[in-house]
Amino acid sequence: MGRYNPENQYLNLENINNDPALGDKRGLVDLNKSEKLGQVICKLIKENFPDVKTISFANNNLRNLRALSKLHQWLPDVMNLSFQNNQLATLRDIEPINGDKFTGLRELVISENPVKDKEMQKFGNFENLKSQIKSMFPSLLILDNEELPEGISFDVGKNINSKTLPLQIMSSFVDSDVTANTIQDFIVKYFTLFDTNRVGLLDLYDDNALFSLSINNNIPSWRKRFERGNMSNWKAYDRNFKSTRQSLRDNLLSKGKNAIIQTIAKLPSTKHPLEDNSKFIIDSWQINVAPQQILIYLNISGEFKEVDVKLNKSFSRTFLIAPSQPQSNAANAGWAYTIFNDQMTVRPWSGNKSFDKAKANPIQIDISGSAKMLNNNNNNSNTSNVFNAAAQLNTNIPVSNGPLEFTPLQLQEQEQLRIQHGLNEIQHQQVQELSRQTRLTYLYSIQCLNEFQWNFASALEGYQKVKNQVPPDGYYH
Amino acid sequence: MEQSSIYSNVINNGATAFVEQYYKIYDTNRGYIDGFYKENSAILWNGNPFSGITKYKEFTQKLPVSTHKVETFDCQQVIGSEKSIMVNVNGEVSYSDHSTKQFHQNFILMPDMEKQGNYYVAHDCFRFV
Repeated sequence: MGRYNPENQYLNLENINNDPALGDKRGLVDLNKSEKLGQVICKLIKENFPDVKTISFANNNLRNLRALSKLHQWLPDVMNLSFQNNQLATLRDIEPINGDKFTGLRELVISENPVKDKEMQKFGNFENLKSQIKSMFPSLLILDNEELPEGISFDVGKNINSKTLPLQIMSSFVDSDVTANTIQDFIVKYFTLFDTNRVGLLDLYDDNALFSLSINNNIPSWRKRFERGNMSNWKAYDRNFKSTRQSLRDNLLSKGKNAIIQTIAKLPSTKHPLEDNSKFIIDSWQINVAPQQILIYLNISGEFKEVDVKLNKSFSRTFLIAPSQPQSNAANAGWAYTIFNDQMTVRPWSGNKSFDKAKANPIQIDISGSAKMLNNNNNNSNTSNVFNAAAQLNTNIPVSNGPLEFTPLQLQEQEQLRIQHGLNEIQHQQVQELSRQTRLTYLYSIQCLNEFQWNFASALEGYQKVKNQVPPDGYYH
Repeated sequence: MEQSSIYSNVINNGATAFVEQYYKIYDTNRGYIDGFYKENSAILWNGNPFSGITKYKEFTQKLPVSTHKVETFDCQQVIGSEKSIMVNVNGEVSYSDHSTKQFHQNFILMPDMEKQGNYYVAHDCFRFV
């Protein structure tokens, strides 16, 4: 009847009472009048479209959903339901869709119903409605295109590890503490600027750096298919080889820091939830791409809010990062590293359910706070481990856990000196680390780093040469 | 300028051929997957590291039959390297147990010094997302 789209497993039952196919029965298919009619429809769907995952009952003038109270029995595999633009006035009108038993339900649309207007009048937002709906439909993830707050849930039956996969899904992988420290610092600073001031990233990109973007329109199968993922705001910069003509690809690759900043400044505004570690998965190790060139290979997947449309999107991003050379733009701007390559993919939101229950890897990274390094001494003697190019790389981001702990009084004094000398966060960390490793006071450490243009390795080396000349009050005791 | 655009075409065509071949062999002829890697390849599968192809191949023999559907891919020359290429892939993978997952995979392809003109996967990072 042209209402079923088998590719998307989507059944469109919008405005069924006015379907021309009904002929002189038009106007008689009123789901408000007969619960029996609802059962007949469920049965017909089951017989004709057993694979259906998404059903839209939009524009049917529904005043309540009693006619559909057995939907979950007939069609337990349906994941997405829309009742957009009906006459549902209260939560009780929605209740007959039995949420406790409809355990596969993921997404619900009730926009353009009186119940929404009433909530808005009463509370000024939909937070109350969202939590009420979540308690009625515990399995629901999305209401009217917005993510619902996580309810109290248990791991039972939600195991991300499929029984037939031979290995467990593991959490973020990092090859060494040096890498962990560097990328933690990088990720927080990079995405904060990406969300607030993209032009501020200019000096972070190398003069020859490359950036390109791919748009993946595919909506994950467990989400609904009422609409395409609405990636239109991103489309203009899409370099996906599957959909972009060969002749355009050269122009869609941004080359050099100026071109890159011009491109990324035009991308839609974003807000990455950096305060929530569980929303990101990060894999990173050091790689050797030329005899003298070690890079950090950083893969990060997660989500952000597209600010203008108030919708979440998911992304994956791969960076290749090098230590910044002394006197380079990056170093002069206080960056300890510089970006060589940057590949970004944006796609409809898919959340973190593929990795948030993963088993922990030995070195953990915590972008929302400071590093938590477990098994710090776990240097097993597996010499064939190709992941450990490690420690050859000096990115000037020092490994913490040095020998010296500062007292609260010292920290207070350091903060004053930091402000007096106008040091940024990276510089502050470098000073503290130099101080930890040499026991030089904060002030002497500033002077030492200043003399060596804030190159940590040179400063440390320089200190070794002059350490006999440092007066006693130059040290913490 | 012209030179670099010829080279970028070579890279683009090479990456396109690689993506097509790689998933075809992974899905239909996995016993030959070692042809893409070497013993010094670093391979990460959902957070599990494999040093070298031998161990990774053992693992792939235990994986259920897969069907990869590539939605997007893109490539860049690795800056600071002689001729390395970074290939980025997003898509959907179904296993024979009927589970379907989205994946992100990134490869660093490097020239094989032992075989003139050949490339191999030096680094491979795969994740369900």
